[in-house]
Amino acid sequence: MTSQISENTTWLVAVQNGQAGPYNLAQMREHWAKGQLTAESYIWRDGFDNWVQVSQTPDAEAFSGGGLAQQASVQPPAQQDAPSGQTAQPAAATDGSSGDAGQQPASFGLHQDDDYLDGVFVDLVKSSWQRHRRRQLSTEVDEVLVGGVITGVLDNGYSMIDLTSDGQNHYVRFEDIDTGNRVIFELQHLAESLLTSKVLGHEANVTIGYGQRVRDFQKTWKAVRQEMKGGYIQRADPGIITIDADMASQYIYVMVGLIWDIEDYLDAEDSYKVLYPKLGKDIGATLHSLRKYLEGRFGAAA
Amino acid sequence: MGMLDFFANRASKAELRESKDEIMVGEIIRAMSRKGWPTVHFFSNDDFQRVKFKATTDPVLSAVYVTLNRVTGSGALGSALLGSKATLFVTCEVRNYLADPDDLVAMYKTDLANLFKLSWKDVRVNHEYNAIHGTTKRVIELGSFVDKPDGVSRLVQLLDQEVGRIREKLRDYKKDGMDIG
Repeated sequence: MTSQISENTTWLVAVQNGQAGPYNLAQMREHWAKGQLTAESYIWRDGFDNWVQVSQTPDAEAFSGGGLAQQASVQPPAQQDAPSGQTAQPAAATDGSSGDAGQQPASFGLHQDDDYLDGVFVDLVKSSWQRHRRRQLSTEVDEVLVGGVITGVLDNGYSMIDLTSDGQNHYVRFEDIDTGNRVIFELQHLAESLLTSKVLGHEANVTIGYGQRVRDFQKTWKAVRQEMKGGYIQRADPGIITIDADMASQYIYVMVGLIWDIEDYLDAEDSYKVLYPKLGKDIGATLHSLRKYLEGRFGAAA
Repeated sequence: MGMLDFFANRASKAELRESKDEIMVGEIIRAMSRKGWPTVHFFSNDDFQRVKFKATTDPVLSAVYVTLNRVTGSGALGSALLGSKATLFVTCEVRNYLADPDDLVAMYKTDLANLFKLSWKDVRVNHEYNAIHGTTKRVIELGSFVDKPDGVSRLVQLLDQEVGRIREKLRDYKKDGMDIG
């Protein structure tokens, strides 16, 4: 390694993704003054056998205003020897206005500083986790909402009596232990993947039902079936109230299918927080309409 | 959903007596929600329910799983003979960005010990890559939580107690600044 430098000497500096430069002495002084080039930065110039830290060369003195000697043409060692991504990163290299780092083959730097390489790896893992969290949230928003529905309905005096879920289709049934009246909530998440949810939003088919025991169940049920004997309608349009019966427990239910955007019910800043006031308002209003329909058509509960 | 077949395609318990485990799971979901821990996964069938909660406000834990296994069955005969017993598993999870090699060595010894450990008196600790789990197991009488006026508050107390025990056991495995949420 030579200690001779001149006004014509140029340096290469190792940066995050390769190398930057060449920089003349004035530019190196400027980087030094700004703290972008430090004693820990790796540099190369003609006369150096390999990339070395500034602190291990006599050049630091020149960067801070010391004396000069001569220079030679720039012929850096093989790119794979560059300790890519050192602490110094000259401004010219980051804004693309100087340096040829983008045209160099990537340095794998397997023999470079242990702590530095550990840091790079940890950064990679962290950025992967950020992306992973986004994907995870996309598959979990439906469960967060269903958990919110369960909490909200229980707060209104009901108990959960059925829960079935396969991760995408969730079916919950509740009963008011005092009155025996029942509520159904079913949700099918239509956009679990991140890609689909970015296009459609987190849309979900939601069915809300309200059930009561009615007088003369068999007769009522027969009349309801008679209405549907044509069999042309396989699925009601959104907002249309339909009637069904649970034969085992002899409950008549009125139900309505809706299409929700799950994110409407979650905090925009933190999607793991449920917006209970909106959820309560929407479910409460739906149940109110269903109850009115049921009692108006079949009379009060038996 | 075809018309008039909604209930034909869905499993529904006919009697409230059969739903004691669901009633309890519902109260567990509400209790966790009150702590600010949302539900992020359900797995449920007739006699087995597992719910995963994201422990958003906990300094150590990233998730809590509550599993209720009604091993005695929910039928009238089983209930009459055996009561409404169920096994309650509470599992807490610590996750770090990276699997610490030193911890893996320690956990390997724990794994070996687990092979020969039959008792559930203590917290069982296990690890899978960067996740460390602690689990407790209790056999409970569902009726003592579901049918009693103070049942919900005792349930919340039980959950807090179990989560607290496990949290202390796992605290040392949590690496500062490595929370992955």
